[in-house]
Amino acid sequence: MEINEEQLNGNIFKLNLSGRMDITGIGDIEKDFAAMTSAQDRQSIIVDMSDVPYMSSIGIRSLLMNGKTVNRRGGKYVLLTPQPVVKDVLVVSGIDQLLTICDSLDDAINKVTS
Amino acid sequence: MQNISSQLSIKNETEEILVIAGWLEKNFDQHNLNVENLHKFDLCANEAVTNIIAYAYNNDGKEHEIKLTFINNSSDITLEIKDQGKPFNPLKKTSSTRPENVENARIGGLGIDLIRHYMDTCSYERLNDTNIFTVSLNK
Repeated sequence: MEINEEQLNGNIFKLNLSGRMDITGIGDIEKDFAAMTSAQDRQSIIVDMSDVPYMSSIGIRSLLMNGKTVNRRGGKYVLLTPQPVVKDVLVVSGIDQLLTICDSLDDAINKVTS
Repeated sequence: MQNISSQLSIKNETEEILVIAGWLEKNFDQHNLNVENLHKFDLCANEAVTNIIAYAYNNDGKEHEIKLTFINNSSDITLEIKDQGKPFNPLKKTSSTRPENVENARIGGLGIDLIRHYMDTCSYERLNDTNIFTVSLNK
């Protein structure tokens, strides 16, 4: 897996994930993902899932742990456009009740800046 | 009558999990199976094997074999996963209750919840010091 970040207007950070979120994929990105979500000045984080074709329980754990990190300091954290098979896993797991999933970038920007 | 389609042996190392997806895809191609079901087997095989690697051998540092068998029956597709680790029935893990918020979320048992959701049948038996975990999906 790979992860990179881009800063949008208004101090919003979009983290772009790509690759399979399985145990090896998470191993590739976990340090960087944690660093990107733990930076104290980042209160608006969008996790772009559009390039992730596969999700496992370990991937879900990673999304939740990083979400917790942001939430604990009062920040906002949303997932953006997961692929259908991935979204299905998130819904089956009940994660859609814990984390906000957005269908468009505009929606995601609204949610993390409200 | 069973049609034993193919077998895959991997070592108990997480990097080995990567070959499972390709092997499943090849089996689906060869038997013209509905690719919508490929993802379900990919997920279940990954979850089951990840659990075996994590729990079955007590991190003894030794190399062990995990055997997967893909069976294309006329009425269902079956995946059997065998390992010779300590007795471990993944089905005994109770379903995780849905957490109410991110802070309280725990992930233990989520893998088996996913397997139970996506597969029509799941079963476990212990035979000759071998754990045999079998999942199948009706056609």
